[in-house]
Amino acid sequence: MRITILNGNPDGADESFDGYVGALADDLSGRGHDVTALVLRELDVKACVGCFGCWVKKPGDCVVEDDAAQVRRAYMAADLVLLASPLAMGFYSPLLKKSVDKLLPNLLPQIGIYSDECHHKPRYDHYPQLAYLVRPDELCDDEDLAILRRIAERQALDLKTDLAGWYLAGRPATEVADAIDGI
Amino acid sequence: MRLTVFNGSPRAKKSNSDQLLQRFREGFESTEGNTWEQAYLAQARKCDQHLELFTSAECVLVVFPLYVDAMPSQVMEFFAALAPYAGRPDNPPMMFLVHSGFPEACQSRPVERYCEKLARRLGADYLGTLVKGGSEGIQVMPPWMTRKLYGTMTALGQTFGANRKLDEALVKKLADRERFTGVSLLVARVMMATGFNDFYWNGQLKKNGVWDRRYDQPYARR
Repeated sequence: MRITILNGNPDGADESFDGYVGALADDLSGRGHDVTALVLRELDVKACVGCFGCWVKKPGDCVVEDDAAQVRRAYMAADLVLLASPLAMGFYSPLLKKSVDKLLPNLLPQIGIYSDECHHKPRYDHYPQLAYLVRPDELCDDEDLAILRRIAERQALDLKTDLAGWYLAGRPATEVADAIDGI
Repeated sequence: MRLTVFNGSPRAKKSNSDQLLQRFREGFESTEGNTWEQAYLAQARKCDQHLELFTSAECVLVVFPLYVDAMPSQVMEFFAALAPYAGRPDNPPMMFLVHSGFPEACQSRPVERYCEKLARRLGADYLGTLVKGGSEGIQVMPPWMTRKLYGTMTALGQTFGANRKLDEALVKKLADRERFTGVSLLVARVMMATGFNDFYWNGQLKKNGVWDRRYDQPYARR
């Protein structure tokens, strides 16, 4: 399986999270998966400005030239995308959200009905499955995780896929690898 | 009352958020003595100013469009920057306005739950969240198409300005359709299938000379 990991850890000094993601990537590679891991803080991804140029000026691509193109390419090349981030204030990092927002070009502007709701039509025939790896902070409680998981489910629906996995970084990385292996 | 407003739209002053806020403000300022200050979270370099505004505010309204089922990254930057103030005893009461291009209010409910929890996390009184679907394009709509919406926003501002709380009936009126069901779902399916709602996008694609490229797949697997 081709797996893309988007590591949204904003803090380079936070070696424990990067170390965890690195161990997970190594474990998955060792099981024969083709793993691409992008450390988002090392990329220049500009925030989406809501111009819709990706829909009406340069269909399928952002009009701003930045490293989000690399993110979109790695995203669409995968069978499974793992969105990984420490949590702060009950959500994943703004750094990761910036890259998620920049996935908009992967959809068409036109609206259709999916799961009895209005959503954008797909631009591509196939989309990767989506999974989340999050590390709760000391203020994070079960309610925070339930809210975020619900948002993750909806993001998967919006991005024309399903939520294939939801993992907490407190577990041993090999257990998460086992779970991903089973997808 | 002084209301401190954070417009979280990435489009800042050219946003639908601003259009909605203008009407809310008209109503809010109709009560004598009420004042309004507004900042744009898209101006990320002003983060320190935004935090100062928050910590000195009497009451806060955060407004944003739904971006991939949550807040835009610029708004999350602001929320993350509020972390040091979690539990501060004098944090201002907070309310939110979340609007979405999709017509159903249900699409904004999960992030509404997030907003409520955010206020609690900060130890701030939570005054509620206004949810509005179908907001895309309101800037270019003729007045007859926005009259009802803007009237409701003005009434919400007026009642909030007078009573310091959101009027529940108006909140419900603004949210309008929660989701499509039964006949309305059938009608929506037919409308979508006919492409009736696509005229704006199709017009823009043609105007920009990229109609033939509308289904481009620059990141298709090779």
